[in-house]
Formats: sequence, C-alpha cells, structure tokens
Amino acid sequence: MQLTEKEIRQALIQAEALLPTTEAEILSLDHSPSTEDGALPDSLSADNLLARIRGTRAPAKIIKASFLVSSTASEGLARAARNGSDLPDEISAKMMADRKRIEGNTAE
Amino acid sequence: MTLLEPPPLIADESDPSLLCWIGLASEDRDQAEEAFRELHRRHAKELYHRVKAWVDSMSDSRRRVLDDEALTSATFIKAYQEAGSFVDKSRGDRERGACQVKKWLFGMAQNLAFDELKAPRSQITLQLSAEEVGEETEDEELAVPSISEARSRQVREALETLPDVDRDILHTCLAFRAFGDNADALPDDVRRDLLGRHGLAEATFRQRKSRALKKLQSILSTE
Repeated sequence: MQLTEKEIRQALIQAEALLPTTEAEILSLDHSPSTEDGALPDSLSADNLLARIRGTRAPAKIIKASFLVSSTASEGLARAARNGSDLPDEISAKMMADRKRIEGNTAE
Repeated sequence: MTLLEPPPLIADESDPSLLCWIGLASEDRDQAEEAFRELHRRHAKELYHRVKAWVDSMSDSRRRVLDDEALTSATFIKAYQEAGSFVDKSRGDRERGACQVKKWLFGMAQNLAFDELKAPRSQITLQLSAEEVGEETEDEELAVPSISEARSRQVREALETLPDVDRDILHTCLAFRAFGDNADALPDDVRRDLLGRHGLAEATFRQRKSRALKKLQSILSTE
C-alpha cells in the first residue's frame, strides 16, 4: 500500500529528517529513542549563548562563512555579469594595470 | 509577587513559566538568565540533535550551506528575545506546556533556517529581533499516522536516493505540511525561493513535486 504524504512526513519526523512542528507530532516522539545522549558543542553552552545575548560575543552565522559574499564583492560580480562582454578598452587597460601593480606588490 | 514571597525555585517551574521569567528580563535579569539556563538544560541537547539530523537530511545544496550549530544557537538566542511573546495554552498542564514550548522552539529553528536560506547572501547577518516567531495554528490535527521505526528508516533512505532537486522539493514541502500537487501551505516566500533555486516555473514545480512523490512511493513499494 502506498504511503500518503502525511505518512511520509511522519516517517521522516521519526527518522529525524524533519522537525516536529505540531503538538501531536511532538507527543508521538515521546517514546522514540532518546536524543538526550551526546555532548553539546562548546559554542552551545548556556554561558556562551548568554554571552551572545548580552552582546559580549558576536552572533554565529547560520549560513557557513565559505558561502558568504561581501556586498561590495557581490555588486562587483553583478556589474561584471551585466557588462563583462563589452568592457571599454580603457577600463580593461586600467584593470590590467591595477592587477600588475597588486601582483608586483605581492611579489615584493 | 510581593516582597514577602520567597523567590521561586526555577528548577520547579514549568516550561511556559520559564519563558515567562525570561520575558521579564528587563525587570529581573538574573532571574531571567537563571530561567534561560534551566530551559537550555531541558531542551538544548534534543534541539541540537534534531536540528543536526534535519540539516544532514537536506538536499546537498542546502546542507552544504547551513550550519547546524549556529542554527541551534540562533534559535536559543531568539527564544530568549521573543520569550515574552510565547502564548501559554497549557492551562496549567505541565506536560502540555513542555510540548508547546518544544513546538515553539522547533518551529523557530525551521523558520530561521528557511529565512536564512532565502536571504541574499550579502545580507545574511542575523536580524534576531525582527524575525517572526513560528506561528501557532489552532486547527492542528490531533492524530498522526502510526509508522514503524523500520518503515521510517526506509522512507528516509528512499528520500536520500532521489535527485537533489526532487529531494529538495519534497523535503521542503513536507517540512511545511504542504501536501497535494499545489502545495498550498507552502509560504509564498519559501515557494519563490524554491522555484528560483531550481529555475522552475509554477506548473513545472507542481509536476516535479508529483513526480518526486510518485518516485519515492515507487521506491518504497518495492522494498
């Protein structure tokens, strides 16, 4: 017999692939294997969280840092995407000069 | 509370009462922090465990991006900040109160995750005070289907074999209880993000969801 979407959702909640978000779903998990075991990472200790709440520690970023693009960089990328194929010669020349200058500085 | 009353023993307080104390942080910060520690002691491990397992089960494109530790941390911080908005509907029933607080925390974690996933990457710094808290629905179904543990594992394993796009569509729709081809319960912003993420038109999305569900059901029917 085919499972309905509701049954699939409940199965995934039990298999911990979805979060329970109704009271009935939470109650249905009361007799599931315990999730109380295992240590918490240090960043999730009550002391660390309270330090963040008091503002003495910076908030953590939910999106991993490697996927962040600064606003300046993203604007630059957007400009490049719009105009990349028809950059004026003088701009291209200036970019090349800047690049050589930076590479020269790095090499020193 | 009058001055003659002894201070309450926080460890004896119900979950909704803990949120009430936290909500009074501007009046008694020490008591609020003590209540927060107790709330953390009761729920942090389970919340982290379930958030981590949830993120692990997501499509590759989402899993690579979301940080489960930071998501758990943000949920607790937001719970502290939004504690005053929690509506206690437990009528003094301690177990029901605990259940409602768990529901509130899980809903908050889910909303935070989807809000962050759809945010432009240049603006992802957490806006903890401006977020909306998981909404309470009055007409929740009281019964949930009974599924065996073995069947649950099969469903999860079957979901993981689906192509990334199908998995993302089903996983997201099921997270919001957006059943049926139209997935009407899917919030508009989440739907827009999902369509944009995979370059799908609305009609294609409906077909794709229906096909993904049939594929999953077909895998399960052969097991």
